[in-house]
Amino acid sequence: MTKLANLQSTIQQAILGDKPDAVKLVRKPVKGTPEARLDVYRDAYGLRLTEFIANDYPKLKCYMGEAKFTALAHAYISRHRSNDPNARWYSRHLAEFLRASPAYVRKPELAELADLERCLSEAFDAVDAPVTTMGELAALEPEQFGTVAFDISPSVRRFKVRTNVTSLWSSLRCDEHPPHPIMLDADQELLVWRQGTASRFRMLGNEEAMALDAAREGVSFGVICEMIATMDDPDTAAVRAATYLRGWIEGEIIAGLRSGGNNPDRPA
Amino acid sequence: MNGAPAPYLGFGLGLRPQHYKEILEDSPNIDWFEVISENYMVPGGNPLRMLDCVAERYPVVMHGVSLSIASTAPLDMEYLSGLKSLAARVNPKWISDHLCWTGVHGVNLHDLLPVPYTEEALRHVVDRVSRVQDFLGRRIAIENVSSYMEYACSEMSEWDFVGELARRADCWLLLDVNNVFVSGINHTFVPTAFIDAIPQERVVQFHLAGHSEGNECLIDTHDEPVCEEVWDLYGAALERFGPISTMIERDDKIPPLADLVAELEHARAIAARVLPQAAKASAA
Repeated sequence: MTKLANLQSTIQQAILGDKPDAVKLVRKPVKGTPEARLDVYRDAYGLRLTEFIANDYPKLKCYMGEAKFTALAHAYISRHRSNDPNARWYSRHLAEFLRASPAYVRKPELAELADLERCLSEAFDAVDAPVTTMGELAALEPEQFGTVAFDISPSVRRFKVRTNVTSLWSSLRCDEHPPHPIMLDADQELLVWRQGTASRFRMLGNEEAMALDAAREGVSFGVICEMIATMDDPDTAAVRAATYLRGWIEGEIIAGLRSGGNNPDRPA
Repeated sequence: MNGAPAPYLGFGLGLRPQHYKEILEDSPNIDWFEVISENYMVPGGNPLRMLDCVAERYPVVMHGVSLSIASTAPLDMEYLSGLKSLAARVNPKWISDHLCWTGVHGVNLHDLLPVPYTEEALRHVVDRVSRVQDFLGRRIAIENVSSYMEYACSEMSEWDFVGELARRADCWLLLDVNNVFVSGINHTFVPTAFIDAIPQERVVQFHLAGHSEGNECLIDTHDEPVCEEVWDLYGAALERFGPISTMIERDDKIPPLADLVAELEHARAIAARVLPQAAKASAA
């Protein structure tokens, strides 16, 4: 290892917490000590990463309060070193960290709030895609409706929650006191996406969630209608499917129409 | 390296999301914008949309914080490819980053760590600047950082290192006037000694910013207006280098755009006083 590589390795170790060897590398300043000068960098490391996390999870910070959130950030920083030049990716493991940490495992709403904020953030600057209009859909020939499949916006994120995290988020957004966290009777499907320049989320019923997930996999609209027919009244399946599709198009979730689908085996 | 000389852009600001709307709707008296490269190295969405709009109307330069030009870790080619793609989209007048390292062994400390001013480090940085310039197909500008410690092994002054780097690597320099002042206080050198030693023909841009007082040294926080001493040093820099594209950085406690425009007017006034001929030419 060269002298320069050795120096950088030792200084980095000092900034990450272990500094005895590094002090002798630092010239004694006129004012203060080499230790204090090294501490400027060590302190800045913790403060900067804490700031990154706080910027990425403002609602979680508001919900937990400054002191508890800072303790969470310090715990995350001690476990996760940044390995990406772009700071925006540093905190991406926070929800997993919350789920896996004994200190937080009994508060599942924290991980779900982190999931929601991360998905909203990812949707905000996801890859741009075209926006399909109702006019484009209306231009299809009637016989094409059965075979048309959809390109779904790359901003779409889907996940399930077990707590009232959406109520918590909405209260925090309005600067209201959040309700008590509760476990839901059943898992709730969530959709996060970008409409225009703004990230959005909404809850999905099980049927719409199944239909959207099938559309993301490239299943044709005709087969999606057949799948919907197995979920509830078959006579109204086509109307329900059309309602979902209209909502997706108006919400800028559909990024393209194409013929032919990646269809699974049809239900018997 | 061949290439056109850097153009004189006048007086600019750092582009910050808080000011997007006002900039695009009101066209305030700002000649150009500097953008933090990493903030726009994202897949898509509003940040890139806003950047496209600003770049259509104003000259833009790209300023990075993650090149880690002095690190002994391998150059991050994925990062450099992203930087090159963004440059192809934005068409910046130039690209800059700092004379520093940000981490080794796969770790990023997200800080601008100072370099030991040794011949070994100089050769290392010269080689990397040359390789980056070859990859990007253009000269880059390297900025002096604020530092809070000096290394015992340093063999030369910071200004000798910076000047020699520019000459050997054939790169440009971004002279951060506030950083010269902060490091001067922290390491007890005379700031004008730094400025007087930098090769005139290499400097393409000035940074101005505020700082704050730490326990035993000044910290480059970019959260305050430019202080009087730094304005004075800016005047001295103008006297030495002539009209150089100047911008004010503010990264924290970001005030209304009008406050920054007013601060920029102060820079214009100093330049008009120090360089009356250049101010007339710029106005024409």
